[in-house]
Amino acid sequence: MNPFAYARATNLEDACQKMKAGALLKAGGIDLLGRMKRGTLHPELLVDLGSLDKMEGIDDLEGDAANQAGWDLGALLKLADLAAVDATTHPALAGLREAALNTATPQIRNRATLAGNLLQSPRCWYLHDPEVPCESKGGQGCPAMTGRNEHHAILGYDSCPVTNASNLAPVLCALDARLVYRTVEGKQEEERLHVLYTAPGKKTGFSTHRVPEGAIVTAIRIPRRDLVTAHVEIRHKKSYDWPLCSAAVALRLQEGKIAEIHCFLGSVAPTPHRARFAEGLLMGKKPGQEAFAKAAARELTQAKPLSEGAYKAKMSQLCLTRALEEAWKRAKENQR
Amino acid sequence: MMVGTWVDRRNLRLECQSHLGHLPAHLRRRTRYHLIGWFKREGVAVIREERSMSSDTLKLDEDIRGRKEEGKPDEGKESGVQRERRYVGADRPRPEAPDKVTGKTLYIHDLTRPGMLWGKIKHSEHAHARIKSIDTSRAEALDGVRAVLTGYNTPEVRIGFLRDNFALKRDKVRQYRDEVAAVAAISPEIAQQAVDLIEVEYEPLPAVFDPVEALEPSAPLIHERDALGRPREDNVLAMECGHESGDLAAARERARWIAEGNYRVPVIQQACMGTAGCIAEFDARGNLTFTGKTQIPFLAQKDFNQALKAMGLIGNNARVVVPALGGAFGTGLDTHCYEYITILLAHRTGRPVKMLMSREEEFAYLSPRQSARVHIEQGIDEDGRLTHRKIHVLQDNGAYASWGATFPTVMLLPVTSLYKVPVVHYTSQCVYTNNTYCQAMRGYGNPEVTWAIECNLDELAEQSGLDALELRKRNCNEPGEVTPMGGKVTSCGLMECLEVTGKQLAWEEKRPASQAARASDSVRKRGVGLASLIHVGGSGRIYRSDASGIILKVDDFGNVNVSYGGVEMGQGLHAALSAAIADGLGVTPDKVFINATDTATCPWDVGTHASRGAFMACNAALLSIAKIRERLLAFCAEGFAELLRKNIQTLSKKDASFEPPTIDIDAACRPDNFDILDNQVFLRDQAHEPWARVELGKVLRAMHFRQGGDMLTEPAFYDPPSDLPDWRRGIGNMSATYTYGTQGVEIEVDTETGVVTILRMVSALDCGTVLNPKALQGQVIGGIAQGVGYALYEEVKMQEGRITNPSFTDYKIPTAHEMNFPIHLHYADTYDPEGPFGSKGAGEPGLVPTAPAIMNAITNACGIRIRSLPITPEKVLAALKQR
Repeated sequence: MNPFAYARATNLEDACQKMKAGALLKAGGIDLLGRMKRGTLHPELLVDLGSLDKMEGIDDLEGDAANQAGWDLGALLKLADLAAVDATTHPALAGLREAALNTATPQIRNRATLAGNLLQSPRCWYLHDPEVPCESKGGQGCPAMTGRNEHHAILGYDSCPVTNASNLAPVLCALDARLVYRTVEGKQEEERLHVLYTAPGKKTGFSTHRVPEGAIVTAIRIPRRDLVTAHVEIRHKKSYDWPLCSAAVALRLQEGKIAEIHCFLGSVAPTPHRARFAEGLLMGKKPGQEAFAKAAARELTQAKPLSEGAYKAKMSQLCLTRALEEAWKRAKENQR
Repeated sequence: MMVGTWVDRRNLRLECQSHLGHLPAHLRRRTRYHLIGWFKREGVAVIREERSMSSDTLKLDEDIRGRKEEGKPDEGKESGVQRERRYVGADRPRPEAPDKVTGKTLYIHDLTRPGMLWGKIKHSEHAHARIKSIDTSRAEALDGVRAVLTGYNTPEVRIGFLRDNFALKRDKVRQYRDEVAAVAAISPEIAQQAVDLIEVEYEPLPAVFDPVEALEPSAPLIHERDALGRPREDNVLAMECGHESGDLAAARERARWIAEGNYRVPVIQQACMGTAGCIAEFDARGNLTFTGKTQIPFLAQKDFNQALKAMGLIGNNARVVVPALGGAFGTGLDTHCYEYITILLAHRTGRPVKMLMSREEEFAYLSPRQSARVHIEQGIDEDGRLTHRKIHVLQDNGAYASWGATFPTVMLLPVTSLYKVPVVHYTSQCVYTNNTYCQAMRGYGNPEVTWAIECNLDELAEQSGLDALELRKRNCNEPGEVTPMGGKVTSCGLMECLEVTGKQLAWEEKRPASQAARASDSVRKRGVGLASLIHVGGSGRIYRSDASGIILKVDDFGNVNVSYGGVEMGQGLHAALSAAIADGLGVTPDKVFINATDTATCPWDVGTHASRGAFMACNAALLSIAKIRERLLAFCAEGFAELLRKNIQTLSKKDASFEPPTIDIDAACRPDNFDILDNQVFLRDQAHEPWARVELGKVLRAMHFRQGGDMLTEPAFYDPPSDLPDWRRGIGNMSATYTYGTQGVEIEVDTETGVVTILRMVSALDCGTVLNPKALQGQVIGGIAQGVGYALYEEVKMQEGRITNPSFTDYKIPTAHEMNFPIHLHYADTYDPEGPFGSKGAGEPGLVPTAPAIMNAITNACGIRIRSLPITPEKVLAALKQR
């Protein structure tokens, strides 16, 4: 690892002041330190946000039932705390809790933060190997296209088939969560999470999100509480692994029909993949197993797996079907 | 008689009775509480109480034991030492455990030297290429760099048992990890910077990554010349290992059912907690001290001495010291390029040099376990008896020869000797490719071929309609058998292992029920499966000498300092050895101090491999102990009476009520009336009289501080009764005894996702007497975890020779979550005549049959048969689709 300077921020203001060119923010340090050790990141300065305890909580947003006020989740909230939320009183958080509970390992969940999880580097073993040149590291071409690509994208990729590695992103996207951040200029901004994610490519400078450089994420805002969520994943290993595939569904029933539905797939694309075809097929319709299976199948017809990724299309379809069934079951229970 | 009810009937009751006769007067007719306290202090009651299992298991054991009780050898006659066992068989913590759990243990990572430099290696960027030029000028100019080495500015140091590898490569590279240059600098960061500044120009060559393609006449030659400079014609390694016994054609005639198949196992990583590293330092006379991760200090000494010779240090010596190891699992069985390079750097700079591997480096640049492709054919006759077994193994050796290339020699044992099989045809081939070269790992060839044998047996069962457990019982090994390779089966508890596994799995109900439920609509399907193993249990002779030396040095205070050349790497060797010495000699285990393994102070040992550590060390120790006791008791015959008189004098002074003995003390001090127990020498027939006991240290001092005094230091050298096999013919009794075992598993398959979940496991192991139940439990469960990893998760993935998953984020080993299922452990009731205290090696077997047991259970659940490991959800789904 290269030598680097380290500064501990005492408050948000202090953190903003300490940030400069060549500096990176450190929260839990899970993704960051691993990349530094492997030699794919070389910051000159780490600004540690670890002690900003103001950003570690879950705050109820002001508002009444009619305004559907939701929650502000602190950017430094530990995944372990998220995994411990009481989902029985907040069915909207059930899927989020499941996603948090299955992430990585208990040790990592005790260190990893919500914002860190959402903005972590994408999954690609070539990207993380400093010895292998590739386009996104300033080299040429993509070794995954012709190489070992069993965990690479099958949807929504252009020249860089990485997968978004956040286990929480699909369910937060489905909940229409917003990222609240403070820019270098000191302005507070709020932007929809799923809009912030981008597929890396030449146009985007191989960035995976559009959070401005130097900005500090302060909270993840869930704007409402009236959606019911479910998160389903298929895992090879139960811990210390990413899911092979995952699906998150948030929906609202009205008079027995689907009044609103948001579906996102994880581990299949450079961003959380919005299942627009499935949403379109189900919106306004009566829910049911057959409709779910059909919608999920339609969504995955557009999959373009690389040489080793065909299994993912089948598993994703299954994940989405199971997530839809689970969300429907919960919605019915919730209505009772 | 009351005491018997509080302890395990089978073992302890007898011991209690023998003690009752000698119960100290003040304890007679005291309460249960006091008696138990006394037993505990004497180390009696604790032993078997902790060993006792659940009541139904006990009952089952009794059933089997009842049948086998006859013919059990007389215990306690080991190596002529008549001993009562207090510590052997007891659940005692390992002697090194307190230091480990409090962080006091010093691993190679913790060690440093004054003026020490750090080494780093520049590796190849091609799988196969000619080196056109190496420019080290920028690296040399960097501040803090003390040496930059290449193959061009160092002496040629050849390594590997076929001498086909070089510490630093010259002319060409043959794999991605090839060492092209190396740096020593004042910090690891500067060393890394310097390595990055080295520029190498290559001319890429056609490469080959598939062993079958490497056999083609048109395949690029990995090595153009052999070690003697003769041109090579193909990529096949000059190794021959096979076996042919019986008439294959006739056996095929006789067979009623024949099953054949191609089975594959991948390259996997040993994944030790402690990564590799070493420190090399030279004294002013040019002698080397090498401190590093090795399991073979004495073979390493030989290798390094050869390197010193190549470096012009003719006649100089390499001393090898082994620090505490965080696991080795076979990684330390060969010497490695990075070690030779560290030695070259230390010699060039005149400073101590340390080289440490990070996790990623260990994955990318060290030798993993070798892959194998096994073609198997087995047949059974009308009665379900094996008619023949025909096996061909093709191994992708990678670019250079290390111990991975010798897996076929260990495969020979299960191929010829797992179950009774009269006709065996076995051939093997090992071929160079441009993949990473491979090395040893726990089990060493055995799991690779057992995977094929045990899966194929289930295929035979399926074909013939015979129950898979019954099929194995009909072909079960037994004591007295001589296997086709000449393996002499002494003790064998395989039948008990099969029976216990079957009962614990509820085989008779579950196996047919699961098979019947295959066709049902349910998404989740369950199944049971099992597989067995044979492994060397009394070391494995793969070198001319298979010996272990030991020195026991007893000091003036009754401490026993042990110098043993084998390696404690986390497996529990020191726990077994200290208990054996304590019981053998008559001291408490806290009086036993085992020195660091060091070629300068320890006698020769071939290495810690082949599950041989405890078997060899304890046997060697018992030889040494026999000599120590003989000399000590000979002194007692002369000098003990005087010590007793002094004792009586002191006791009389201290205690007015003390009544001196009335017997003739000189007459009582006859040679056969002495014993040593728990650091005290005493008269057997007065065992519990305080005047008749003298602290061991006092006796030793009396022996030492007298005219013509003497101290007790005894070396011993144990070479087990086994033969070095003729590898080409595959004949020879390679081990003094053999370990057997069976593992059973119940699994659930989600037929929609392909995910396999283990519900529970049974491990029945025949390793003779259990030396330390807790330590053995660690070995067995640890082995099962590696077996589960082999079966379901692990694979070193390569793309044209480059490893794509060199970290734990992408290389999947089981964690506590994957191991979260009950494991029933059972140990067969056997006693091995050659084993120390009747025990046999148990280090490796844990992982040998796990994968086939799991696959057989999956087949039972849903009718699919996957023939390549690991069994991933993708493969399960693909197989279900094809069904």
